[in-house]
Amino acid sequence: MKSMLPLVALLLAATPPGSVQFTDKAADAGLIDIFYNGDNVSKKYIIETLGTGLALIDYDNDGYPDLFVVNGSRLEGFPAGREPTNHLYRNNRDGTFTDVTKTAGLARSGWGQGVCAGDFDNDGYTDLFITYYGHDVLYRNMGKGSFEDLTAAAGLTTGPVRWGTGCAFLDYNLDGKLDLLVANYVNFDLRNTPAPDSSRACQWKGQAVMCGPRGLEGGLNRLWRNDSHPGKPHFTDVSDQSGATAPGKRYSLSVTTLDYDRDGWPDIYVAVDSQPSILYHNNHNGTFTDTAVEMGVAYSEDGREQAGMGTAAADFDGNGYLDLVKTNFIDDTPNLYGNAGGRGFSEVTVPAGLGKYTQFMGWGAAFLDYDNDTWPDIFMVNGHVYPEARDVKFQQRRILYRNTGNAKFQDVSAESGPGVMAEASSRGLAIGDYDNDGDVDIFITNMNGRPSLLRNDGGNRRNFLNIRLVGRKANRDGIGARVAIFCGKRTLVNEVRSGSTFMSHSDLRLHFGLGEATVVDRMEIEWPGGAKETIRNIQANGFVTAAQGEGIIRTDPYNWRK
Amino acid sequence: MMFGGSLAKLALFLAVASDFAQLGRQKYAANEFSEAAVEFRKAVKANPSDRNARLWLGYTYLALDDLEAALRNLEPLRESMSSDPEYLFAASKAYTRSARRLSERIAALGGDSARAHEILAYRYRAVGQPKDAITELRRAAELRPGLAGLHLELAEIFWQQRQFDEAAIELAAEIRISPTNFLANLRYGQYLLRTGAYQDAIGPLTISAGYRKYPEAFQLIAYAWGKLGKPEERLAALRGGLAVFPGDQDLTEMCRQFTAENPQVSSRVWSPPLLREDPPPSLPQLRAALARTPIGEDALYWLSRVYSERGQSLLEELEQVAPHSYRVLQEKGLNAEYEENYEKAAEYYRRVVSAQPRLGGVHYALGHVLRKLGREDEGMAEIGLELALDPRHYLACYELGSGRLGRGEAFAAVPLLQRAILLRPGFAEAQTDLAKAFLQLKRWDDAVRVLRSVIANHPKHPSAHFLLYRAYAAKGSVDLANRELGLHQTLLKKSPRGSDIAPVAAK
Repeated sequence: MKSMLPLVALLLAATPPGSVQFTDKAADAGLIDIFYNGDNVSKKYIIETLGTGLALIDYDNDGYPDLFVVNGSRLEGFPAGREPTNHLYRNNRDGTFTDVTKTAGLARSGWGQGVCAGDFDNDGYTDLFITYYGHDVLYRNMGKGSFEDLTAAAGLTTGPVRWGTGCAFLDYNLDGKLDLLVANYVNFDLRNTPAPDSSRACQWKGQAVMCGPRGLEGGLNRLWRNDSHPGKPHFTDVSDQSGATAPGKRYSLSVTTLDYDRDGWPDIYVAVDSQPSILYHNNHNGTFTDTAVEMGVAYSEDGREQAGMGTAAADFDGNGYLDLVKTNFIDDTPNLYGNAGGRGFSEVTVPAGLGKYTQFMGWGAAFLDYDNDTWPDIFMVNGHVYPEARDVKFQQRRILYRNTGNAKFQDVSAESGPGVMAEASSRGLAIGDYDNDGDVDIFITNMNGRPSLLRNDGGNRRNFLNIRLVGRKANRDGIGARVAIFCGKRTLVNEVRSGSTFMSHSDLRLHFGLGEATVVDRMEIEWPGGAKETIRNIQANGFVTAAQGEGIIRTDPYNWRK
Repeated sequence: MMFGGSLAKLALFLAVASDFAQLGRQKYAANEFSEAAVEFRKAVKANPSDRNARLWLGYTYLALDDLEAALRNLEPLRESMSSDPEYLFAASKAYTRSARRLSERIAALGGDSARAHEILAYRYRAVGQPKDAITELRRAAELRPGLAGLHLELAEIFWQQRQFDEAAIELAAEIRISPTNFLANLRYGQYLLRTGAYQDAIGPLTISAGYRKYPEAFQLIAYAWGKLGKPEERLAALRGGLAVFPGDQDLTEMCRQFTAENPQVSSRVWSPPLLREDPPPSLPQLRAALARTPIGEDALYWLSRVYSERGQSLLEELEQVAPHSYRVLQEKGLNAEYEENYEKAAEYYRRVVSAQPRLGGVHYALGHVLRKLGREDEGMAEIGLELALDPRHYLACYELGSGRLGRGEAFAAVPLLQRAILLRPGFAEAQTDLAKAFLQLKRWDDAVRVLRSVIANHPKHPSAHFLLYRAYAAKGSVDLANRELGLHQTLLKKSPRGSDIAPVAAK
């Protein structure tokens, strides 16, 4: 528990913007590997453009999130024996990480794309699913610091090559086991795709560039139902009968789960590139219906198709319903969709203050209360797709929008530290309190570069509550559970979710900023499957674990710094 | 008596005409342009030789955006008011705006029109996007391989980028189409000299010299002859150049130096065959062609070019006559804005505002570019000033309304957008924004009404169909909603947006 120093009381005074600083500590932390995705000078094919994702997962259950980063490849390959692999970095709990990839059995090469995590076998250890251009891979966490490839054993091996992108574990049928939705982007075949120097080259603003996604065949999203039994992992492809493929071939990228209408069943939002995005409404009977158009999240406000990239969900306006943010291509703004009580969404991008910029190409987006003032803020990473394009910047800065508490946001990037204003061609994004000091940190993948670790300094001057859920009848990781924090006049809500942002996965623990409140009056948990419980009078500034039906079973210490 | 009677009548006519003109000026100052036009027409009818009344009438037609009428009244004043800054400004503006409007008509001819691609290319060049200009010119050349000027324009772009080999390919192509084109031959000659093909350069340079346009042609030929070891021919070219350009310092110096170094060389004066450029079609011919149906793209193109050149020429005269006039600044601001150099445009407009704070249109122009620069509050404030000066400025109404809508102030946006539409019936952008405001205010029937009006005029407007779908869906009119959604999605398939990557047709 945090000690109540007088200094802390002084520091709990209102913290103006600018006093929270993000600094890139990746090199100091030991995150020095390069993550590849195609050529750095010019992109010949679209496979070289999406970058890779990363996941914050506590694979060893020591209370500190570890980091898994997906690696890609390049067209010309690598010398034998020197192919880059994915990396698992164990959190040393002192601000540094150690690469444990090989001992963990996760050293795999290929055109890695995204990652999501969830304890699919409910054995208490979070597992990993990695998407590829090629064949996706399921790794079971064996609990001894290592993983085993269960793809084939679990029935997840697909015949044809697919281009998997975003993914998410979710219990869509509320049977207590985590199922899996995988977005697929393009049916990409090098033999049939023109290159920029060919006679069939594609053009962007008059310049020859790689082709796609328009003109290429889209992918079909896949839903895998978890039919595992103890000792017998198994997933069944229910894509067609569930309606996951009903929207047709789309250029699907990011997956965010949310119960947008609060009917107790998880729905799924998929950001789609250059076509209408998808909102799979859960029909409670094993099927989904795409309601994106009716709910107002398929297009822009006036019906334009947009190039949707990353997506995230949170209740930014405090009305108790989860809203959505989506990043888009350059020459467009992101979308902020406000959830009007589950009856539909309204695009509020411009009035909320997110309509200022069209010069950024957005990728990972996340809601996070970076200053612990109770209002979810927004962080976006950017970067162009064409390094060869003139008159545009390939490397672009990040954007931090502070929620001013009246459904509006303010760009505070310039006063939030060098980590935010640094320029890179970034893609994946994961958030979580990696050093357990009470404020949310940010992890980013950068094209053909090292990841960024933006350590949050100053966000913990206000109070917080960090919650890990353990399901008993519900899935072990509590994915899909809705948590509502009642604190004075404010009610803060969020769901535990796998995946989201851009092909990435954030810390499964929910972090709530509490502002000046030192006690949470009550916390209500709605578990997947319907069970509800209320826990009262929770002290602020703690890392609590709440188990289904048991209340808080553990409170871990908090690394107060400064 | 009769003479005295005629004089009296004349005096009366003049007095009456003067009254009309004065009233017209009052109406103009009050931004009542239609009323002002009526008065000025009366003044001109009463006294056809009243240049000022005709000038004011031209100005008024400009304010009313009736460019043809403006030109009709301004053109007759060309000789008599050639040093009047107000005339020069008005005429320049009338020609330039007419040229741009014609360009827009050409651009709207669509993807199968070579001239449309050519116009787009000029636009891209003006805003500093040479790569896009190249794409458009190539497309134009694909559509009309024998169209003169396209390859020359490509060559100029490559030349500016110092891609001389690429430029030469285009120049050769242009010369195949137009063997005696002045600039193509001059540039090609320059290129051949750069590559050491001195003998080959003589032909093209001779053609360009034949136009007697630039002394450089003679200088370059003299240089080539020098490299070929032909001193008599070299001297003949220099002397020929001096015969055409007797005051040219470079030719004089070259000649002096050569004769000093080669006193023994003598020669004739070289006179290349005289060439003249074909004049463009005459203005009456072009205007007559405009009245025909269908209008040829070439007629539109040439008229646009003639107007553009006249507008530019008048602006240059204005800069000579009154270099510090606010009119010059205003025109420079317009040009900067057209080239999307908004910082520069704002700078010019601010200076005009300082000099003439009540000048119609300039607060709007300033506000508009400030908004383009992302300076929303400042921009809206300027546009508000414009509206205070001229409550009938429909664009100011629209931008203020649109800005309010963007801030989430739908209630405040409605009257502004409605006014814009009242002032400019059929203004689709204002109608669409008004519909969005109605949707935000849950005024479904009003949204439906407005959107149906948009669709009546623009049946292929995808956004209008989508917004109408939203309105019908909100009203519970499921069948109508589904119909509109279907139309929207069909239109989207035909004109997709998104990442704008488009496969180029296979060659």
